[in-house]
Amino acid sequence: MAYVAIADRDHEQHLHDPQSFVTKYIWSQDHKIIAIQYSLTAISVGLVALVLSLSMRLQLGFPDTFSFITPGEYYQAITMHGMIMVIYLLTALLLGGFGNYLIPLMCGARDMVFPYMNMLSYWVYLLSVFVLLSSFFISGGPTGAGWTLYPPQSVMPGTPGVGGGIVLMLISLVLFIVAFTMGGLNYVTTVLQARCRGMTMMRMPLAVWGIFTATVLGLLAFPALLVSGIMLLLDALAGTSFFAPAMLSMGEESRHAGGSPILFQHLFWFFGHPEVYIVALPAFGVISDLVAVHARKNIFGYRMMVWAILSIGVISFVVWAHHMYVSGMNPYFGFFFATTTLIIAIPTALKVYNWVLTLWRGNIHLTVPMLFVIGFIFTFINGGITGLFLGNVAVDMPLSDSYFIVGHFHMVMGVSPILVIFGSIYHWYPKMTGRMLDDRLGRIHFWCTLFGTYAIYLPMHYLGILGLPRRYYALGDTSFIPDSAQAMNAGISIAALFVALSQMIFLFNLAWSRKHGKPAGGNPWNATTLEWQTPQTPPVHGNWGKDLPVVYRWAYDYSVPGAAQDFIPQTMAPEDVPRDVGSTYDGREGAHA
Amino acid sequence: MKVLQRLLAKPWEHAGEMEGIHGGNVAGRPPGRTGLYVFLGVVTSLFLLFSISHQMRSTYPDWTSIAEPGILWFNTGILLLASISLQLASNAALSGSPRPVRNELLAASVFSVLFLGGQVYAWKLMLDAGLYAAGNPANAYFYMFTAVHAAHLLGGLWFLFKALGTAYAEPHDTALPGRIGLCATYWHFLLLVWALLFYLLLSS
Ligand code: HEM
Ligand SMILES: [Cu+2]
Repeated sequence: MAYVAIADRDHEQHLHDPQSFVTKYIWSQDHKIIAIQYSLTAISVGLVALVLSLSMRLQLGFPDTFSFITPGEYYQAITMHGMIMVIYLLTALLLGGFGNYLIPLMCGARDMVFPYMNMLSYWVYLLSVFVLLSSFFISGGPTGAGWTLYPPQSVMPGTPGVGGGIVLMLISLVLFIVAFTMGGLNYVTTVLQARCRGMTMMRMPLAVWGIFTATVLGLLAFPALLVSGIMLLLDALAGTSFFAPAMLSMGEESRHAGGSPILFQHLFWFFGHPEVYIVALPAFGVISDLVAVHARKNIFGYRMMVWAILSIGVISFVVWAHHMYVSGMNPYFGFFFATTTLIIAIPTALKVYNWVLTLWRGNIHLTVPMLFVIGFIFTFINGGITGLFLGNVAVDMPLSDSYFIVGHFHMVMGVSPILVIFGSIYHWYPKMTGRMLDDRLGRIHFWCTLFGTYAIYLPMHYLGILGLPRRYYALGDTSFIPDSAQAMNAGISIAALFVALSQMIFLFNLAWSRKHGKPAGGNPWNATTLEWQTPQTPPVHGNWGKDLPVVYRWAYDYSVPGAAQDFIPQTMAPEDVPRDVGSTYDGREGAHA
Repeated sequence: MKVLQRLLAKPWEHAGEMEGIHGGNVAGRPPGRTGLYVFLGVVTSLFLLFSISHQMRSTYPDWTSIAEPGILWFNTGILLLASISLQLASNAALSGSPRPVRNELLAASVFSVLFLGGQVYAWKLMLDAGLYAAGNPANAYFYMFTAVHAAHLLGGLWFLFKALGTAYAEPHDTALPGRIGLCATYWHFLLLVWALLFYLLLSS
């Protein structure tokens, strides 16, 4: 028997419709509900991280005015802020949230291939969040080791949270990895095996390519965090010495001997650098789709974009030691990693060119999502260029552990993905709820966020060049730092408060538009991809009604010459394409730049 | 190289062309098997990283080689038997004979549990000999490797027991041969992993 594609089979196995409120919205196996659960949880825990960053900023901006945060608490705030932002917000939101929502809809599947495991993935993620947050309530509080958790200080007395805090952090990370793996197996297998008829890999929207590749990266890289986490946990609890060397701590010999802190750094960054791309690739993919829809143009260089995503994925596994230039490594080793780091910039820059070339002579609609797209491209170029500086050993040495680093990584993996996330929420909210987000509030939110974040992070580069060190509670009377640095720090803190407040506009918009937004209809942006062609909006359980969609074309048939409309949905057969009067267009060839 | 060919396709041409264009399932196998292969990729990454850390750490001067308990050889044999029984069960399931399926599944379960018991016993021997985890990194790797490997086997046992239950309750369930096949693949894989870990333990 010829193999029947999964997508072509009847899906009665996951189509017994959920009956009660609990099975429909809480204990749900529907990818759309799970996506929303993931997203809301990630945003909520992200707000905790935002509050933590404000408490740090108040201390840094007005060191003598506020005394509610002690040096120990400052370290705890830094650590929890960084870890939550990178893992529990961005990774969870982009893959657990966007991945869950978009993959089945964009591929034309009824759901993920393993819905039960998908549901478990969310609940284990939620558990990991609770375990993480519970460390605020134990004696000693959360760990203050920095989000990199470097031993030996993460397991040595003197660091805040060395008893329970670090243990809860590691347990929470282990749980997160388990949750991510269950989700990731779903995303990869669904993309590989549950696409509808006609949806070849190369007809997939770039958002799916980005999420798919990022998931593969995550599946291969998170094990490195798991390995380092397990070994660190044993060092902390069982007294082993995988990482912890012999130390004199407060006049006492530690119980450890012989461990290798550098081993930890290698393992951590073997995960840590791909992690940057686990966040960035979904953002790249999503941006490519937003830019095409809102500029009414096919994406420039689709194949090149796919290849770039794949090659970035591969190269991202051989650049990790650029985070360790100051660890005393062999200069040739550093040279190797500087070279790979500059090489990975090539496909990355290519993507930027292609976004700009897509905009070039496009019919740019300055919708709210488009504003965020442009903000992202701008910001990513900014952060990318400072990355080229830091990739070179000689330039990185003096800048390492300074505020230049903080400015760089916030631009490239703080602000950039956050802009993408906002843009995508404005773009897909109408599909998720059936209503548009308020346009005017969206514009206010965009400009406040863009200018506000630049007011925070651009000056940080200058502070770094002045020599301001990262992860310091207060600078005191450090002689080489001029007083003006303090004034700048105060300004940054005010900008941070402003940015945080302006996010309330967004949250208000989310809540208000749910009931009062303009009705959106099924396809408010006139987009081609499958999620906009569902019979109902928001899509119901099973997504497609009785018959699965059939795909006839790629995802980017915008402004095709001869076609009467400026978009041709992927589900439209050539003979059905309405054409201009007198045109000989046969509905087959796209308009490829 | 079908993959390369696919990546060279020009999707903007020939809209409407459906000839030779199927839906998903490029691989032509059930999703459960693809899911398992992806998972084996994850586990491979995990154990490779563990192994590399072991190779690096064992070059440090404080490393003291230990003589691993001899029972590990016995355990390895038992795990091999478990793997073989599962393969036989899988073959029997494909040819549709419920009785040997049940027997081989039962044998595989017993061997697997026996293996775990043997590993626990090896721990006891280590502890009795005063070789504690905190004492030396070589000891620590012994406990960690055996524990992480056992955890993976325990996860597999959950599915094996479920298949065993089905083999008794509904021997003609059409999904059963597929599930047993997945278990067999996973067991072979864990056998290989164990061989690697055992080799690393012995060689250092
Ligand atoms: C309004 C938004 C934000 C503000 C005001 C802010 C502020 C800060 C501050 C003050 C620090 C400590 C710097 C130091 O003393 O060394 C920090 C660290 C950090 N932030 Fe943010 N941040 C924001 C958003 C984000 C986002 C979205 C991310 C996601 C990637 C992020 C990731 C990190 C990381 C990884 C660290 C390093 C933590 C460590 O050193 O262990 N932040 N942030
Ligand atoms: Cu990096």
